[in-house]
Amino acid sequence: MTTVIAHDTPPTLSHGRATEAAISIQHLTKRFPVHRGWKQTLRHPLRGDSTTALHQITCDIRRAEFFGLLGPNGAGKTTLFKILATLILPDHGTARVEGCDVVRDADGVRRVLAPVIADERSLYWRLSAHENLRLFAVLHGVRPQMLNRRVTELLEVVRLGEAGAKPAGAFSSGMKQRLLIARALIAAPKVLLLDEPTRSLDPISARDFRAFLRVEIAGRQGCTVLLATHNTEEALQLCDRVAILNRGKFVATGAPAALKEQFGDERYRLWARGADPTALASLAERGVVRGHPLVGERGPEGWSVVELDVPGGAPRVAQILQFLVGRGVAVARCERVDLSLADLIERVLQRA
Amino acid sequence: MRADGLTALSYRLQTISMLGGLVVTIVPLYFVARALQPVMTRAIATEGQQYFGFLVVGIIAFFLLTTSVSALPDAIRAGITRGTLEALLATPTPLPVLFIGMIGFPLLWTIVRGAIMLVSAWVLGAHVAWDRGVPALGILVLIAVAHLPFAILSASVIIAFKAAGPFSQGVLTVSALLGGVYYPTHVIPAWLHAISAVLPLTYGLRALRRTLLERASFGTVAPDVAILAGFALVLLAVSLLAFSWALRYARRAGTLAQY
Repeated sequence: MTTVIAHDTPPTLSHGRATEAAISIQHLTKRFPVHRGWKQTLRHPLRGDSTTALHQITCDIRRAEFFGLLGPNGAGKTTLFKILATLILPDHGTARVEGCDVVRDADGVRRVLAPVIADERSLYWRLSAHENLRLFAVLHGVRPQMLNRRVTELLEVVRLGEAGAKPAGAFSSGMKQRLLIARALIAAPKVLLLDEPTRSLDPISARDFRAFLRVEIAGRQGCTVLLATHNTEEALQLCDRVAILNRGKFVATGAPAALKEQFGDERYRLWARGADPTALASLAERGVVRGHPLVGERGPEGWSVVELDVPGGAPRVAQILQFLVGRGVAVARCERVDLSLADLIERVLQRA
Repeated sequence: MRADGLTALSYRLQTISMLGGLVVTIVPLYFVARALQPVMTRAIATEGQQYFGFLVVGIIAFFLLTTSVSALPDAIRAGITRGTLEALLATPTPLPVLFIGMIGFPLLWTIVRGAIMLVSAWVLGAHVAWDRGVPALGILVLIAVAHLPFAILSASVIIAFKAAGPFSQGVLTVSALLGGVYYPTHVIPAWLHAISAVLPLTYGLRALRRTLLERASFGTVAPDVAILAGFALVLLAVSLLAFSWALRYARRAGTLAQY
C-alpha cells in the first residue's frame, strides 16, 4: 500500500479559516470523578476527587483529512472520541463537528458524524448483516425507498455482499469489523471516528483493512476520519496528520514526516573503538548530546556501536567526532538513524 | 421493533415453549376458578360474574403490566452490557422513538400471548364479549402506557447508578396483591384501600373486565379510563424528566456504557 505523506501544515488552523474545519476543538477539558471505596466515602462523604482526562485541548481537523490520535493507554483518546460522538459531555471548552456544537446541537452532530464502536458485541449477532445495516439505516432516517439499495451497496463496499444473509454472530473478527464500518457509513457521514479498528485483526486482514480505509473511506467516500490507534505504523500509513496525546494534553501535532523532522533527525550511530566512558559522559554533561549515549556490546575486534541523540544535527556531529578523535577514540563509521514512529512517540512523550 | 422481533423469534425452542406453556397454564386456572366460583359470585357481580373469565382477564393484564414495567429496563441493561446502547444513542433518532422501538416488540408479543390465552379460555367456556374487543384493546394499551413510567424510572436508575431500582419489582408486587388481579379490590381490608386507589391497574382492570366480560359501554367505564389516562400523563412527564436527568448525569460522568 502506498504511504501517503501529506503536505506539511500548521497544527491548528487560524480562527479566520475555522469554516474549513470539519472538527474544531477549543480548550476542551474533561474531568471524571474518581471512584472511591466505602471507607473513603464514609470518611469524606462530600469530597469529590476527580482525575483530568482532557486538559485544554485545542485542534482543528480539516475536511477529508485522515487524522491520527496516538498515545499511551489513558491518554484521553477515547474520552475525546466520546465527546465528539455526544456520548460524554465536556466540562469546559467547545467542540464543533461540521459547525454543530456537541453540547448545544447534539442531534446535528449525530447527523453528520458516525463513531465506529469497535466492540463486536455492539452488533446484533442473531441478525443477518443485512438486517443489522437495515436497522441502523432506519435509525439514521434513510428513506425507505433507498434503504435496500443503500444496504446492498454498502455490503459490497465492505466486501460482505455474499455474506449479507448470514447472522453477524457467524462472522470472523475481520468481517465483523467491516460490518461495523458499514454500519457507521450507512447514513453517509461526513466525519468518521475509528477507535483502534484493527485491534482484533490478524496482520494480513489488518493490512487489507488499512488499504480499504485509505482507498474507499478517505478516497472515494471523502470522509474526514479521526483514527485512534496504538499502532504507529498504521498511523504513519494512513494519516495526513497525527497528534500525540499524553495525560489529556496534545504534546505534538503535525504530519508524520514533519514530526520525524522535528523530533527524529538527530539520532546518530557510531562504530567506535576505545571509546572512553568518561568522554561520552562529558558530552552529555556539556549538553552536546541529549541524554546518555547508548553503548552497545564490544565486538571481537573491539568495535562497539554508540548511539547519540544530537540536538543541532550534522554540524554538531562533526564537532563531536573531532572531540572523540582528539580523545583517542577510533571512529570507523557514522550514520544518521531513521527513527521508527514508535521511537518517535516515546521520545516525544519523554520530552513532554 | 423488527430487529427485536427477528432476534426473539430466532430462539425457536423458547418461542414454541412460551406459546405451548400458555395453553397448559389455562387448564389448571379453569379448574381452580370452577372450584372457587360459588365463593366469588357475589364479589365479582359487577365484573363479569364468572370467576374463570375474571381470573384470565386479570392475568392477561398482569402479563402486559409485567412487560410494560420490565421490558425497557431489561433492554437498557442488555444494551449497556452488549454495547448496543451507545450505538443507538449515537444515532439521530429521538429518545422517545428509541424507547418505543425497545419496548414495541415485547408489548406486541405479550398482546399476542394474551389473545391466545383469551381464545383458549373462551374454548374452555369463559364468557368473552368479542364485539367489545377493540375498546378492550385500547384499555389494555392504556394500562401498558400508564405503567411505562415505572419502567422509565427504573431505566433511569440503571443508567445513572448501574443497578436496578425498586420501581419494577415494587410496582409488580403491589399491583399483583392490591390491583385486583386475582380478586376484586373491594374485598381487601379497608386500610389497604388507599394503596389500591393509587394503583393504575385498579382502574385499568375494572374498566377492562366491565368492557370485555360485561359488555359495558364506553360511558360506563369512562371515569376509570380517565383516571388511568391521568396517571399515564402525569407519570410519563415525571419519568421522562428523570430519564433526561439520568442520561445527562451518565454523560457527564462518562458512565453511559459502564455496567
